[in-house]
Amino acid sequence: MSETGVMRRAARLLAACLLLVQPLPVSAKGPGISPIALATLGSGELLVLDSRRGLFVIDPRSGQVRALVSGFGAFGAADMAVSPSSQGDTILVSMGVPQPQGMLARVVRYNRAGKSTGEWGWFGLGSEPVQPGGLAIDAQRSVAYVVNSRRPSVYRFDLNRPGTRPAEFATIRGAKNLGPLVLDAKRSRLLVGDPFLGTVHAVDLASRKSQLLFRGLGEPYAFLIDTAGDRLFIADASGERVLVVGLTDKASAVTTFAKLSKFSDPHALAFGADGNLWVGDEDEETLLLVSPKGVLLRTISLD
Amino acid sequence: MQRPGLSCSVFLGLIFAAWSFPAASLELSLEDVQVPGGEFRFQVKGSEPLDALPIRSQDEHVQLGSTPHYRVFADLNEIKFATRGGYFRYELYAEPKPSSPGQPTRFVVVGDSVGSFFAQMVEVEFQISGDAVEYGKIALPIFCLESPRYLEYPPWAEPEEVELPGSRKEIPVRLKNLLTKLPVSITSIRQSSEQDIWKTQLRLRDSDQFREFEINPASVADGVLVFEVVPNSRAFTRVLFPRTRKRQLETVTAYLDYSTPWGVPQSLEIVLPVRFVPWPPLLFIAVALGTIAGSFVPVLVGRRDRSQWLRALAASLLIGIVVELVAMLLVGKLDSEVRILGFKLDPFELIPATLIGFSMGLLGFRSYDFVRKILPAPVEKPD
Repeated sequence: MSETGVMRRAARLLAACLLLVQPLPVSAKGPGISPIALATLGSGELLVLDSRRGLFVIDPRSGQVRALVSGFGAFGAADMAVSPSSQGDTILVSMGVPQPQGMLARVVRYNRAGKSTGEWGWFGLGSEPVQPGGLAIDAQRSVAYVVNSRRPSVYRFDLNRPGTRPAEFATIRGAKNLGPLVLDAKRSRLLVGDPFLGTVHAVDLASRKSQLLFRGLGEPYAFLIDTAGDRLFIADASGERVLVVGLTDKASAVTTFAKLSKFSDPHALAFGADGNLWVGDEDEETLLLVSPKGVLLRTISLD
Repeated sequence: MQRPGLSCSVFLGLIFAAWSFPAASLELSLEDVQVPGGEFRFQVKGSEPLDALPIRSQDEHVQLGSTPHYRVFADLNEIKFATRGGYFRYELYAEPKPSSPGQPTRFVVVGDSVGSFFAQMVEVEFQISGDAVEYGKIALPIFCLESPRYLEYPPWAEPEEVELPGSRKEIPVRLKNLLTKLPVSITSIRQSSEQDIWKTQLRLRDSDQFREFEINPASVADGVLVFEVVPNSRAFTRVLFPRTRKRQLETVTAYLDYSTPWGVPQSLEIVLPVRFVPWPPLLFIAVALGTIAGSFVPVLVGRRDRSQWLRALAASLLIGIVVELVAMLLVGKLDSEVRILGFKLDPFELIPATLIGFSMGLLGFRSYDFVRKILPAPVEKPD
C-alpha cells in the first residue's frame, strides 16, 4: 500500500469516529396522580404532591393539570410545605430513599418554575434511623421544621443556609411514628401528629418541650390550621374522614367535620376559595372540595 | 327444681334477642413477629362492619387464615407504605363461617419494623373474637426500612474494554435477588446524566422499551439487562490525549429502581468500569504514521540519502510493527511495561504507539542494518 493510501485510510477512520451519536430513548411513566400533600399557591392555584411522580399545579376552576417537577429520582416524597410570598412562593418537599441499613433523607426547595434552589440532607443508619415526614415553614424566622418519623423527633434547618444538615430540635415524648406537622404561629408552637398511635402533640418553640394534646384520632395523616377560626383540621386516613378541633381551649372536643362516601384515603388538606376545604384522596386519585359545613361541592379527578 | 314456665321464657327471650339485635362485628388482633435481625409490630387501627366482603378468597393477592368459626383474609394489593410515618398499612377482613354468628368486618392494621431484616413472608398469629375467642395464622409480608440490600450485582473485577472507533458494545449485567421468599421487581431504570464522552443505556437485552420484570426468590437474572456503551468523538479524543499517564479508566453509571411486592422502592447504583482502547489495527496505523514521520526527519536534516528513504522506511516499519507487537504482548499478557528514554509507554494507546513508530523511523538506516544482518537476502547496502 502506498503512503498516501495509508494516510487516506487513517483519515477515513478518524472521520468515522468523529460522527455524532443519536440520543437514546428514555422510558416513561403511566398512572394518575396520587395526592399525598396539597397547598394553595399565591396565585390561587393548587399544588399537589405525588410521592413518586412529582409536583403538579392545578387550576381549581378548570381542573387543568401541569407538571412542575417530574419525579424525584430514586427518592419518595413524604410531605410538602409552601410559604406564599410576593417575591415568589417557597416550596419545600421532604423525601427519602432507603439505602442498605439506612435511609438517605433530604428536603429540597423549589421555586415557582420548579427549579431546585436549595437542599438540606442527612443520612440515618440502623441505630439512628431517619424517615423524613411532615414539614412546616416559619417564614418570619426563616427556618423550617421536618419530622423524623423513625426517632421520633423534629429537626430544624435554616432556610438561608442550604447545604447544612438539619439539627435535632425536639423529641416528642410518648410518640412513635411522627407524620404531619404544622406551625401554630399564634401560640408559638408546632403541632405534630403520630398516625401510628393516633395522637397529636404540641411542641413549644421556646422551651422545645412536647405535650400530648389529643389521642384516639385514628390515623391523623395531614393537618391544616384555620388561623381565623383557631381550628385544626385533621385528615384521618384509615377513618376515611376529616376531623376538626378548636385550638383555643385545651378541653376542646374533636368532632367529625366530614365523612363522605367518596373518601377512601384522605391524605392531604388545603383551603380553597370562600373557606372551602380541598381534600386530596390518595387511593381515589381525586381532589374533593368540601364546604364549610362538610358537604361535598365538587371533585377533580387526577387519574 | 326449675319451673318449666321460666325455661320457656328464657328460651323465647334468647330467640327474641337473636332476632332483634344485629350480629356483632368481630374483633381482631395480630401478634408481633420476631425475625432474625429485628421485629415487626402490628396494631389494629380500626374496624368497620360490612354487609359483604369486597374481596374473593380465591384471588391470587388474597391470603387466608382460618379458625373453627371464622375466616380471616388479607388483601395484599391494599398494603401501603405510609411515607409520612414510615410504617405499613394493611387491610384485613374477617367473616364468620356458615352457621356461625357475627358480621363481616374490615380491619385497618398498621405495622412497623424495628432493627434490620430482609422483607419476607411470615406466618402471623392472630386472635379473633366474636361469640368465641379463637386463634389462627395468616401469611403476610413484612418489611423493614433499614433492610440490608436485597438486590446485588457482582462488581466487575476488570474494566470492560470498548474499542475505538467503534459503533457500540453490549455488556451483560448479572442481578441477584438475595430474598429467599419474595420476588424482586425491577420497576424502572434511570440513566446517568453524566454522559460527556459516551452515550450509554442500561436496557433490556431484547428491547429498547423498558418493561418491569421480576427476579424470583434466591435467583439470578443473568444478562436480562445489558449496558449499551456508545462512545462519541470525545471518547476518541480522551484516548488520543489521556489526562493521566495511567491507562484511561472511565466509569459508566446507571440506577435501577426495584422493590419487593407491596414494599418501598429502593435504588441500586450500577457502576461499570470501562476502558476505551483503540481498535488494534488502528494502533498499527499509528505505528506506521509515526514511522513515516520519523523517517522524514534524517532526510530533512541531511543525515539520510533521499534515494534510500523508501527502503529504510520499509525496514523501520517492519521493526516498528514487531516492537509494537512485542510491547503489546509484554504489557497486555505479561503485565510488564515498556520504557523508551525512561518514559513509560502504553502500546495500547495511540500516541505511545505513534512514538514507537516515530523512534523506529528515526533509527531507519540502523533498522535497515539490523534487517540486513538478520536477512541474508540481496539487500543493497546503503551509503
